[in-house]
Amino acid sequence: MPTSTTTPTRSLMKRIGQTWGWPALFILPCFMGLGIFTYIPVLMSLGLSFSYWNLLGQPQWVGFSNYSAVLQDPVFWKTLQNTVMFVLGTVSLDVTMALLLALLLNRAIRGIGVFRTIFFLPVITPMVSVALVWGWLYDPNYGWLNAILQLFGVEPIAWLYDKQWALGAIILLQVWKGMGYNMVILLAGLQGIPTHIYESAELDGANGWQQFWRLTLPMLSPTLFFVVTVSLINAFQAFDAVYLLTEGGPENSTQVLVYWLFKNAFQFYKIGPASAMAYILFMIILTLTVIQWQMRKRWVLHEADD
Amino acid sequence: MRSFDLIRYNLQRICLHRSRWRLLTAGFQAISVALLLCGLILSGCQSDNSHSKKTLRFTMWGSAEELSVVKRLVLDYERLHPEIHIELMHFPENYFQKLHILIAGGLTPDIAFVNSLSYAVYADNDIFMPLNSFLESKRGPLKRSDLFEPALKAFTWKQQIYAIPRDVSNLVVYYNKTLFQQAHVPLPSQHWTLTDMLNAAQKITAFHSSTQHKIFGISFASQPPLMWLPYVWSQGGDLFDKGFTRFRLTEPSGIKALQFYADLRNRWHVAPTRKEVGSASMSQLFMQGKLAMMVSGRWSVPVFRSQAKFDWDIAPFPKGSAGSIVGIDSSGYAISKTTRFPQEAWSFIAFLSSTKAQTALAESGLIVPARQDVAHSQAFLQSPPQHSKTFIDIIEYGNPTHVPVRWNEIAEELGLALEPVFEGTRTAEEALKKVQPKIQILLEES
Repeated sequence: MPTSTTTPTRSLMKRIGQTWGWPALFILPCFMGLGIFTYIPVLMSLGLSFSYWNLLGQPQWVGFSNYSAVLQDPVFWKTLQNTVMFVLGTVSLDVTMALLLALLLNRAIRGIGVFRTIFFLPVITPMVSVALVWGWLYDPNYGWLNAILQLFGVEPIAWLYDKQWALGAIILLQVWKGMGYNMVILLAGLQGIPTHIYESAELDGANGWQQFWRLTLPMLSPTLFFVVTVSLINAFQAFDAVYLLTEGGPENSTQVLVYWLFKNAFQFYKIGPASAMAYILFMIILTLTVIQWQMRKRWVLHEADD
Repeated sequence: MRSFDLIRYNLQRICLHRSRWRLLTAGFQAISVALLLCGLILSGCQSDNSHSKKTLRFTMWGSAEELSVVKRLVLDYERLHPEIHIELMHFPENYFQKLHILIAGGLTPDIAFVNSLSYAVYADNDIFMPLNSFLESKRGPLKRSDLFEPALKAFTWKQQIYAIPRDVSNLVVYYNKTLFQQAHVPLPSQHWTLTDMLNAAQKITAFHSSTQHKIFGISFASQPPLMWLPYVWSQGGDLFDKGFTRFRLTEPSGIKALQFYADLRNRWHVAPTRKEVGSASMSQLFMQGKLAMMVSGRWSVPVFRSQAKFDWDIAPFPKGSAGSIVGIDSSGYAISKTTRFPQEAWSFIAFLSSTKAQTALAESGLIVPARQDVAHSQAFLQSPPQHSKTFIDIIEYGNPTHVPVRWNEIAEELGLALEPVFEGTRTAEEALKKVQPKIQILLEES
């Protein structure tokens, strides 16, 4: 037992030290990592977005010309259009599928854990191996997908090699890979809904459909809000599937913002325009998130009055 | 916080005695601080063990096989020069990105392996040292005449040589003898023409049209431009004028050549379309016996030697109106302008370019050695392919490939413009005339 001979101030300091000292020390390495690899680069790229730099010489201040060059580039607009299509496609499909799966898997039957694991597996599978396997599935000559479709009399589709289909193929892959994560979160949300509400609804004569629309969805809305917001942000940052499978082709039909940004920075060595694009993307995501945050009052339960 | 308390509670329960718990936490804290400090100190004073040696940092890309040859050479060199340590950095993927970032971070390697298609931007930014004086020194270990002149030309920027070529990288036509013989088509001669090639491709494709798997006459690659430039050069066209001031592909010769190339796919159907290729590569199709002719470089030899189950050989690229002209690019060694040890770096490069070292590299089959004596030795000429000498014979007609500083962006624009041409949905003339102003701007901004 510590002796109580210390002065009140010292004991207060000691208590702060006890509460914060060790924890602070332990999170210091993490903060150093974040600082060096996230916050400092984020600030530097803001500066670089107003500069000309090819990585080899010294950066030169060029004002807003990177931003105007990016905004005048037709490829950028094409890329933005693709990105919006990609975001709409993945978020809507992903959330719907995840919700459907969560509803199906939210029951106490034997072996439910196995099913939950199966649908979660793609989330923890590295994108490199997913892309490799899907690249084969999508192969126009040997791919299973075409083989299956052919059974139903569908003409072979060139998937990744056809500009009409390529973006859709990437969306499909991304949804398959990502829906497990949202499913788990929605499942947690579903399990947070007290069962007695359903019991009383049943007593009042509500059928399954009514229970879903009037109870489940509203009670799940905070979780749905989180899922939609996070999926949207992630979808805007899509990169790896495009990098691994199509490199933006054919004919720029899968060129998305982050991949185009990467190409500008590390293939064309145009760090300035690439940084400008990063900040434009940041503004887009910020704006959309703020709008969603405002809109939540309209549709998220218990949020209207704060 | 709640879970933290829970863990603490459980730990306390396990430890039973409060005093012992105290001792335990104190001990744990002391150990973690010690570890943290050790980590900081170690990371501070790492890599200072070879203080007495001169360390040369050397970056390269390449396959595992190439790497193992180079590693052996490095060991040999260090044995001969105990005062020098070579720090070999191998980046198998995205090499030039990484090199750029090393340079941006002030960590330019003393010796960098570069390619003639990628070094313009470094020469333009004064990253490497001109090597003429080393090469022209009378008593030096390596002389200009040891090497193929076109390879040196590929590394010449404003009359200065910026890298010592390791290889001469040019293109030939690989062909599947068995497919030719089955269709009773005469094998490609040393003087065959583009018309001969088209005829052969048509006959072979037609002969095998009844078989289950489609067989294609000739390979098709839309990227990089170096793969289709032989068609342009051999028919008298070119990408740019000499000083990179004008985009020349819109001239009738260039348009005609690119249209001919696209027609191989879309008009004559002797080259596979994007859909027919799918996720396969041209060399996979060739090795599966589904491709009669394939335009490729020396790098295909090792894999064909070990895996092709049919008779194959090589022929020069077929002649067009201007002859048979393929590009000569090269990979080689450059010295950083900021290195502390230029003499030592040069001595290492000279060692890598010695007959012995070049022989070791040539034996892998991957490269056409830049050193003339090794190129004419058995190490390189061994069969298959029976006509290995073709690689050397065509050097004098080759076109040392120079590219402008913003080549990567130009190649991107060009690739994008030509995609519909290669898909058969637009003519070469339309596409080239449309992209011409954009490329002209990129040339003028360089």
